[in-house]
Amino acid sequence: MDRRSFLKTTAFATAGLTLGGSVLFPSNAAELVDNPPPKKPYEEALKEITKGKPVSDSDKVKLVAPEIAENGAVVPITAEVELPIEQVKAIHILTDKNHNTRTLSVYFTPANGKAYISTRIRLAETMNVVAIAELADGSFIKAQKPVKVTIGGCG
Amino acid sequence: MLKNRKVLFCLFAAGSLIVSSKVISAEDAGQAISEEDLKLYQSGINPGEVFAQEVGGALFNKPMGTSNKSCASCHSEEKLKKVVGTYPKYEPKVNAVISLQQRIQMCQKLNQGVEKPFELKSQENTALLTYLKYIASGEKVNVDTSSNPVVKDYYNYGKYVFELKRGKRNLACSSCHENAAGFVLRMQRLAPLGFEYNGIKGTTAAAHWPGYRMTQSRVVTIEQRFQQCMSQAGMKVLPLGSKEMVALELYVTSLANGATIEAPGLVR
Amino acid sequence: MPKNAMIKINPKEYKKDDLVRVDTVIMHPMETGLVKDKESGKYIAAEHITSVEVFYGDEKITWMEVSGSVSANPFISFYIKATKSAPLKIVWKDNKGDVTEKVVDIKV
Repeated sequence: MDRRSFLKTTAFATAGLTLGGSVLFPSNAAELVDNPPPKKPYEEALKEITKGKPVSDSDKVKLVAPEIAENGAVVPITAEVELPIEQVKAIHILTDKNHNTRTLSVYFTPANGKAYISTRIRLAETMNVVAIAELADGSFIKAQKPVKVTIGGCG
Repeated sequence: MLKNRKVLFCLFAAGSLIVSSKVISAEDAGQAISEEDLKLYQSGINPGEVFAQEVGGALFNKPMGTSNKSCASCHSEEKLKKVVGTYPKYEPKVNAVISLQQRIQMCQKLNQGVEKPFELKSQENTALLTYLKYIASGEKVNVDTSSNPVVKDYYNYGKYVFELKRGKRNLACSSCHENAAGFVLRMQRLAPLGFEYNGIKGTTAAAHWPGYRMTQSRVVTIEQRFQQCMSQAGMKVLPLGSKEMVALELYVTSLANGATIEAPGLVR
Repeated sequence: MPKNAMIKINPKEYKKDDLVRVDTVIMHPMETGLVKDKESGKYIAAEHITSVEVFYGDEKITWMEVSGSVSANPFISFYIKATKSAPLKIVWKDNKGDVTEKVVDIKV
């Protein structure tokens, strides 16, 4: 298609397109700062949660995560503890190679009926997702899964 | 002679050992995201739905322009949802095929009296489009490709654009979405955009666009996705709303004729 | 400014003492604070949800600590036991002090 006819067709497309600022999304410049937030490596996050207490693997903690994540920005994970809700105080989700490895902590009460959390997390690269269950008796159990993060097909 | 061969062999074996530790195995290279993994994304709420309802829905009900009327004041959603699947469509006022996004602009200008309709690339136009596609979910994609010479011209031109090799990698849309369909590209299977091609199942793409693109955390229109694809494939990006883009949108949408609209979709 | 949010109860029909799943989405960019602005070389300031609180009637029944490594426009889902007819209120707070509240009525 030659340039002249190409421009003619785009004229319709650009008619009335001189709207200035967005009505809904006024472009406020993003706030810029000198430093990123501090790193929180896995060992530190673990210590924060368990205060040095041992954590044992348990098949009572069910962690569902994809083997290969379609993208690193949205990775679906579900963690559930197969124990009566009265016995479970919290579920902590950790992502061992992220900048901040302490991704999400959920604190339950018996009103929840079930110790279950499902969400979408960010993974900077291939790493382990760890679900640590904090039990009412003060002990900790966990399950973990390696998740491969890909560049993905076409951008 | 034999000694030389032995040395050569050892060197070769050593070399391949070093190389193979860096090269991914054939198994890994062909590995694609499994169906089970993909299903994990489908449960839950698509953020695009919140965008459709809260943002698009609000705009649909917002009085605008000199008429001070909202879309809702003229349009019943029951009737509107039946026509969504017929776009891109021939518009007699401009004697051309136009996309639904352009029809929204036309309505804003001619019927609402808005001096400057929302741009095609704007989040507002996308929100209105998403809302319309959202309320039309359950209806079928049903674009006309042949009822008059203008429509026929757009359809053929769209097919031409789809099959035209261009850009630094000399690729056409059909290179990946037809010829290489079924192959794995960086852990994702390439799929045809209609129902199927050469026995490979397609995605009927047009039925679930606009889509919430997870990698961009926002809803993206099908023409914007074409632009993003073109950019990735090393082709010059076509302008939104140009004849080329609308023709391409018509062609790709026609591949999904008969599919049920389920929008917004959840996509990479 | 409060953000757009949505709460869905699954299943839609339920009886007293059933376990129902509460699906939530809030439209929030969840800026991690790790993204560099190309021009200045500085970082785009962190802006993300830091806490979610769930109230069933007057009682706080669940609370969460949320970091920037939760995806943008976060989807979070949990269970409650539908013991009584009462409003279920969810409060999302971010590190800039923005507060979003959404309520659905649990009816048994």
